[in-house]
Amino acid sequence: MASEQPAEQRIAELEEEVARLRTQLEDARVVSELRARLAQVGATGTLSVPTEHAALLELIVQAAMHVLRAQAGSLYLVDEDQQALVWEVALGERAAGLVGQRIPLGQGVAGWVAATGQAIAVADVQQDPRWAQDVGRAVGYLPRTMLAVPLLLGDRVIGVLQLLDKDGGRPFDAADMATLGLFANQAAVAIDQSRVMRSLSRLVRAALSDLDEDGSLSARAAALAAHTEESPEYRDTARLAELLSEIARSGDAGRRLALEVNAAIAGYLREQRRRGRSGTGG
Amino acid sequence: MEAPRPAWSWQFAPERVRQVPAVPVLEDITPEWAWGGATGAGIKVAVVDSGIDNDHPAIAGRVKGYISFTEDRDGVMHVDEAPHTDAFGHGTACADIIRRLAPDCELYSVKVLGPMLTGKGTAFAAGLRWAIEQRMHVVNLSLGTTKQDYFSLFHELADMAYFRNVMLVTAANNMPVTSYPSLFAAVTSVACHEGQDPYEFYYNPEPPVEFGAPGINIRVAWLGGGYMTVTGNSFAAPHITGLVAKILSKHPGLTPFQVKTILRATARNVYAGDGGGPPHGGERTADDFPSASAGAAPI
Repeated sequence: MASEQPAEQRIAELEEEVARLRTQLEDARVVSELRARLAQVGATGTLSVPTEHAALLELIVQAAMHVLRAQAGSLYLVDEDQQALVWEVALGERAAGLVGQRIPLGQGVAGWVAATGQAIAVADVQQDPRWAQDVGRAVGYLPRTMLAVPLLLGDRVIGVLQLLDKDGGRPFDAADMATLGLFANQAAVAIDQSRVMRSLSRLVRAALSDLDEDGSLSARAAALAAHTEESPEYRDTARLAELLSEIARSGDAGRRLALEVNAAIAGYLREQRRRGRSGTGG
Repeated sequence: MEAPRPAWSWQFAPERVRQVPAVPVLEDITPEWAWGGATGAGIKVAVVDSGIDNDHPAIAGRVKGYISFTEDRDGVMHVDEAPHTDAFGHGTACADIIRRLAPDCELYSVKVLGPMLTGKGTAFAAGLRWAIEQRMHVVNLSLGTTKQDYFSLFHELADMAYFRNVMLVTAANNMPVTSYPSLFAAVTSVACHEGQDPYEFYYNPEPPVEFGAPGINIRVAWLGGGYMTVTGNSFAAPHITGLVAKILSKHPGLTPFQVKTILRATARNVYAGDGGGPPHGGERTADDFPSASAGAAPI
């Protein structure tokens, strides 16, 4: 027969259960917020602004830290021209001021992951300070445990997502590696969308600056944008732009096909307009 | 004068058919028969990676040859046979694991990972081609490429290795992505399991990953004579590489498919007709692997 538990022990167990549930709720809140943010980015696509992109990446790292109980986290992007990794996000007690800094490829955990596209977990980083010098500089101390996974966009490694020091000093395990991989996938998609948007933005800005010598065009463009954003035509055009953007990124064959199809449609429409004008005039 | 025969059939003409040594029936293959008492002596093992630190105590000067490949920004490949160091520590870790199983094997450090990402795939392919052309017995590939552009090149190299009896042991990528050459049938692809016994490996009847070996929280040699505890499929592959070196040192001339058959027969989850395999640390105990237990180097 099972003996009855003392009241104190039962209360302690209940307190533990409440703490556990509270943590789960907090996890769920963060994950829910992340999901909503990603859905928002997916919906707006090329219409996002750069600050949104930075905030989203930070949120992804923050959520990964929270879910995997890590004390610090970083997200690096590969700069292929400079053969370096650039800190895009650095979170942790002593990580301030690191965003934008570079570390050369070919050293440390992040360099290894970028070079190979392979994830890695390290349980006793302090055994070799040189291996950890990149993140050591980042957080101002030598971490004990570390997990790093690649950001893969299609078949390219575009960056690295890295967590440091799991709570309780335990090593990151294989399940943690798989979980962080999911966050890395989301980050890669967000980065890809942002890059497309930045390219379009630069193009539009360059076109405007060439034309807009006295600034009046910018003012008119802003007023027009405010007006047209609400219109069905604008929404259709934005959707068309999204589709074209997607096709442009899908490879040569798809791009050529889309060019031919759209050229044919444009030609047909031009012909229709020409005939319409001829009919009116004749 | 020989009568004309269809292409590829000449080697099966009565006067051309060669006698080759028989192997025991599968049920009779035991670890003792497969590698008992073997040390990997006489077997050339290439580690295509970030380089091997020959001065590390775990390597003990066993590196017999070096070569490095780097492609510059202009697409020019640079080849250097001078002794080199390890850029990351990863190649030294793999060599350490291989030596725990096959301490007397001859290591060849094929360095294809350096500070440049540019040209990494072509450097990797050049290093692998070199290892095949040099007739290494086993090549450890704890790396791969995710680039679709390299599919054909690595497929060709994997087949070339298979036909030349060069055993390629590859690590599956830790991420659920397509990675070459680990997904090709001509290689032996490995992922990690939780065990720590270097002789504990499992067969997966649902490829492409065919074997599981230790790779979680494994203490390995690293930079500057140090050690680290690491997790990843990268560290599972060298366990199988070491075993293959042992098998080949005891049974010279075996082909990759024969070695795979032996690995399958000696995997801990393969049983002769009893209908099921054990979990980790299951029914096959150290007593079932007398030579293996005796030969295991301390970790």
